[in-house]
Amino acid sequence: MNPSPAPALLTAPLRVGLIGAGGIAHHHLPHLLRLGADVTVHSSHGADELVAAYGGTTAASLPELLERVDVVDVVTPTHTHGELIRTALAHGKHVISEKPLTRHHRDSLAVVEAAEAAGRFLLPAHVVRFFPEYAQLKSAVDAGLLGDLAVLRFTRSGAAPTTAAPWFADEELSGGIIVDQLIHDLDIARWVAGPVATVSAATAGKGGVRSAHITLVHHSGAITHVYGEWGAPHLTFSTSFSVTGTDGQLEHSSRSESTVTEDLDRSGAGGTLVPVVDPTASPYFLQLRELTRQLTTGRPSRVDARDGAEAVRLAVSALEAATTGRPVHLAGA
Amino acid sequence: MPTAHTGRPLRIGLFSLAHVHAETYARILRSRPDVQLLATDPDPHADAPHTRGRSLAQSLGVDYVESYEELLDWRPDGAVLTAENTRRPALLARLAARGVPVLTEKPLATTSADADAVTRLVHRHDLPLMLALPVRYSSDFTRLQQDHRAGVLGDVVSVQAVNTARLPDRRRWFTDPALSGGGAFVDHLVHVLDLVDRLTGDTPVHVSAVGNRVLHPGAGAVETAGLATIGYRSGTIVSIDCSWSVPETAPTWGGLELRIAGTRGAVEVDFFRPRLRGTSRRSGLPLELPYGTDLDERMLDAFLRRLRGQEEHTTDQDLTSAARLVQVVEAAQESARTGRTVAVSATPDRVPA
Repeated sequence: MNPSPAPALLTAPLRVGLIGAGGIAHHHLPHLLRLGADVTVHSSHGADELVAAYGGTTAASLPELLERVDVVDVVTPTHTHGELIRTALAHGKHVISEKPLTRHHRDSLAVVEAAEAAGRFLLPAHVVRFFPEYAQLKSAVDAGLLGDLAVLRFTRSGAAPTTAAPWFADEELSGGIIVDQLIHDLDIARWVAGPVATVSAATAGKGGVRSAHITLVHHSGAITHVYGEWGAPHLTFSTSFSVTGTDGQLEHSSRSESTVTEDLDRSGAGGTLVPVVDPTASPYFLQLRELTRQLTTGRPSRVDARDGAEAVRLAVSALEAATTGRPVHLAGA
Repeated sequence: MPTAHTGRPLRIGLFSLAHVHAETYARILRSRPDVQLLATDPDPHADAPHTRGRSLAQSLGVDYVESYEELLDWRPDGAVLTAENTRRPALLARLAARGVPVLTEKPLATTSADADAVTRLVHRHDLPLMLALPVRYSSDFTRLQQDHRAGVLGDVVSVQAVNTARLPDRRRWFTDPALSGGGAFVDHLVHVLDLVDRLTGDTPVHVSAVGNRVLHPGAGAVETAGLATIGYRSGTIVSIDCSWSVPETAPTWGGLELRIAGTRGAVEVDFFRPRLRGTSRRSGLPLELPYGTDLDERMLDAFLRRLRGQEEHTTDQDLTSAARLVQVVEAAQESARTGRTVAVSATPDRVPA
């Protein structure tokens, strides 16, 4: 983004207001604290438990939070993003927002413009750009390793989140599997293969299971398939991709590239163990480190507000295409 | 030993560019703003005049001096020792005499006599010393250790390990016994042995090993393929393929895989597996792009943290285990030579009849 004038930079320690205390908050709060930020949490519920688990302090109200911070990190349900972002900007705060930026494209553009007018950073959290396999793909393609791209595939499957958090099931609120989950792959497809001209999609739903099949035609001529499932509760979360160009092909599958295969009974001795992973290798940590670094140094991170709005446009276009059964042609981009 | 150096960059001396890892370490250290790096590579290296010495340092963007003495006079806060295997003990002695904490390439030594000498020296000078064994720093290994401690694995019954690699032919000394101390056994048994040591704390007591020179027969008078089977005091058996069997045309250097059978279950870890895979249409060759945590980076970070006093040196533990592993390698070499099972020297009573 090119706000005018350039946003004033912050100095450490950052004072961050985390709004929301649901699932994704567990992937933001500990990393913000690890990065040395002073974090204030406000949420309609769950803030006390979240702070008890990781640290930080709570604010009883949104105005109280806004008084204590310079940056707002929005991790609430999707349909509340737009208003919270606008409120934060109106109070002169920089904003980090969980994806999708907002539920609708027009509203997403409006908050991008509001941030530019206010001279504040608006940074959408598209964490998949920080997963090393996708970052590796991006640099390989940018380095010309695969030549001109021809065809790309991305998949993302897991248990439906709708049991734990029922608002996900309401397509008006969350946008469903396409706007909530496949927005990641739509964003990556655009990041890797460039702007998109046409979006087609079909969805299927039986019982509690939802699937979505999306096809993109990029301006370059490359074509992309994006597939996703919200499945039964025991589904292992998995992702994959395959990218082919004139000079070669690269593929990845989270299942087959996993380092550990185990036949262990964790129900007995030792009980259930929390898997130990190095927190500083977490894509969520890498993401928040890069986004907060932009606030203190101005150095652009790998994703900006316009990318966030474009990802929403691709997702809502896919939703429209799935509903009407007709491709959506995108202007500009 | 030095304690806190907060506020100024640490001076790290890179002692020799002989080992292929020297380049890796130089690149990582050079990219850190909290490190000043100075290298020297004065030992004869007629086999690789252009890929070592000042010209290599220049291409790595690292400042260079002509002798070890000059590098020592620079008063480094720490030394990274990447000389040829058999040249390291003498250099360790010079570093110990000057009290410079060391991260040394593995193995600690190539004979148990040398390992004993180094151990005495390190103790006499109270020298902080760390072995360059990066797989220790893998999160997967930490998790294995925690599972083992929590009893999820049960008792370790056996470990079947593969730690194969390409022949390190960019440096010909690896296959010159006078400088390397041996071939595949010396180069690649130690990583797995160290992981088993850290996981179980068990003591190796006897070794059977076989090797050959079918691959790279012209490389030198050392084995290029090797299989070793190690018996431990508790009855655990560990077998390791440590061959330089990864083809030169393979997309990456090799890897390290463990299959661990415990009394309560089994687990397999393929530490360097994660990568994008495909084919290059231009070369017709497989295309593999590894990703994930850089364990060398993490190991060097741990060394720097120790130099800054932010993490404790664990010299004693490192030395005891490193010296024992030298004995295992020596026993493997002897076994391959004689065709007999060989006792690990510190524990001769444990050899089965």
